[in-house]
Amino acid sequence: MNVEIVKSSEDWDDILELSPHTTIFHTWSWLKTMEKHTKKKIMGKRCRARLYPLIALDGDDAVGVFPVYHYRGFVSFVLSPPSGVEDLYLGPLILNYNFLKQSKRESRFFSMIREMDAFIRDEMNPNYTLFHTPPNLLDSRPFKWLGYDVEPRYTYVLRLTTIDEVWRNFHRSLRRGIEKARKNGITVRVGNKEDIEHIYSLLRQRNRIHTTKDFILEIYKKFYPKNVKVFIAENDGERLSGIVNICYRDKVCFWIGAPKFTFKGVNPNELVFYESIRWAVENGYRYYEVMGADDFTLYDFKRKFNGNLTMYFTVRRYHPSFIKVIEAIYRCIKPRYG
Amino acid sequence: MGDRMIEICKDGGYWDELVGRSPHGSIFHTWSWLKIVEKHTSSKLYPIIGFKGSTPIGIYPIFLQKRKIFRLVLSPPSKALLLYMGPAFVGYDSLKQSRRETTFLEFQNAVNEFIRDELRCGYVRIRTSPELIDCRPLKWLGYKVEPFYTYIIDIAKGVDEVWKNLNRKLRVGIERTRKEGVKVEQGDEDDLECLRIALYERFVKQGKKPRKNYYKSYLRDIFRRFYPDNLRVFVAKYNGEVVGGLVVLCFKDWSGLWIGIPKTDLKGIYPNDLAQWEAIRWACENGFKRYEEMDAGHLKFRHFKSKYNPYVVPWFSAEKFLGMYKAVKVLRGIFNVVKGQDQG
Repeated sequence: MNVEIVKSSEDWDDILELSPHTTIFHTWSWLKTMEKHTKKKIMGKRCRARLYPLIALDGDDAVGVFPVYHYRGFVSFVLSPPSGVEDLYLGPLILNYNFLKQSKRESRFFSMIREMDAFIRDEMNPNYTLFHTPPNLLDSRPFKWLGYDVEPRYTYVLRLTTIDEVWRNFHRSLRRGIEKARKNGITVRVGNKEDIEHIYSLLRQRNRIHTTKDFILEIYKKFYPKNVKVFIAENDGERLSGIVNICYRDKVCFWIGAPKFTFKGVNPNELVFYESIRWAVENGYRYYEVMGADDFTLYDFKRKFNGNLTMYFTVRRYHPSFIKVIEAIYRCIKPRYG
Repeated sequence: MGDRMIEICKDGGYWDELVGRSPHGSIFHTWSWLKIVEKHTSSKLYPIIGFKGSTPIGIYPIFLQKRKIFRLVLSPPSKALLLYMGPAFVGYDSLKQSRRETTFLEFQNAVNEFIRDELRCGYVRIRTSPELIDCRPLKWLGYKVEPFYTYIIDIAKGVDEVWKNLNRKLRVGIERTRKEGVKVEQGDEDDLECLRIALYERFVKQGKKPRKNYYKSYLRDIFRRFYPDNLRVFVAKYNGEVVGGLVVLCFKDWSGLWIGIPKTDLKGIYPNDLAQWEAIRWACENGFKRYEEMDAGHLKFRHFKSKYNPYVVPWFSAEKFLGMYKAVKVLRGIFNVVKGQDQG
């Protein structure tokens, strides 16, 4: 199996069609936009990244792809997804995954990751490697077998049938909140560029966004109206809160937004979510993802939607490995969770 | 915690009823299995039941082990040939997601308090059942969680469909082994002893140092309690000699390969493949819906198990060091780096 760097967008995007785990973040245009805007602080210096859109080939046949970002500073980092672009997951894709028998599936996956890993070590020699794999790719063993540390992560996905069923599945307090918002005269409409700017500034004030406005606006420019949808809550023409969703394949994802906001003692975000879910149902989407189910501080809000848990993985490795001991000591003082 | 409380269960019948009502309740959670494990692992079993008001919400068997100056809580304990155990929640499938999460979080919190305040332990290791896909409550309560895997074959569609889905080479190998005259039959306690000795000898050959009476009395107790309802032995014989075999467990609609003879040195025939196929066929014919090839974590055994076209299912190992025991964690990290376990 060979590993090569893909040069053209056509080759790349065509291949993505063949994987069941492809996300919009894997598309050429999104990858390139992330490459342009990502920056990572390494020892006080802001470093840019270089995108390596890697492809694994068995003879002439593509087996899988793996976009990774290399940051070179005092130490070297390889990340997928890159840092500071509000992306929860990216990672490798294996083509025709669902059509392969298990023995073939796992031997392809393992060979591909082994070759990609060797390529990354030879070309980039990272001190720290961090990947977040795409949801529903439940097998993380290829990484474990290569000595990576693997941690399970989750996101919430609602299965959309009818809006009545979605409504019935909501937590009682969420249903009450939505009705209360309506009674207080809050309405929701589809938003535009100015609304995104409004949402961005609210998120910035609350320190709940870690990317630049330029990045968000460039994504909007490139992906609106097909893949990006904005929903904004207002009262008598006054903008309150809102969300930015991504539509890709048969799924709508809540991407950014929903800053903490109170209007007449009511949280308009619940109604915004409900209306955006209704829009997804009416437009024939099958799934709605409330991205990220690991953050305990957001758990109390997100759990009310009663989405199904979908798993993905965080995969990391340190080189040389004594850095891991330093990290272990640090984590004793400051645990990652709890 | 409100009106919720935990209790140490004394009634085995009630415990088993709750195991039966939980999708995570496995044969390893049953009262008899736990008691046999307790007897053979020098540990003390705490069979905890969680309640909300007077309604039981789940069971949580934990084992306290004292090793020199260390006090450990394990579920399951080591050296019992068990992969996973952990909590089992009652009526989990019918709960809404938000209710599942709060139930787990509150129950885990109560068990944590019990471990810390009553058992005064410094190290906890919980390995949860494959049916429980949510490990966030453990993460949120300070556990480090790592995924592990097992293989499950869907056998509900019947034996013909399972056969069709096997890897082609495996089917050819099974047919050839049968034609060569290898016979698979169901075994008794003596055959189990044969399997045990074969396993022991394999470990000795590999340069490992298993205990002299390697699981002898433990397996005997398990066999006497669970055979024939929940345990079957399949042995492959060639010219009257045992050349392969496995122990299959079954519980509710689940069946699974628990332990088996390691690879034989015979050329061109595959007695273990034939024995496992006969076990799968037996499970299909007896109405079981799933067949588990326990443990998909080893690169070495991957080829043997994946040929049956199973799907991989994750389960989780969660561990937590408390108080001064955190120093042990750091020392273990240093030891692993020096020993070169991390390829980093």
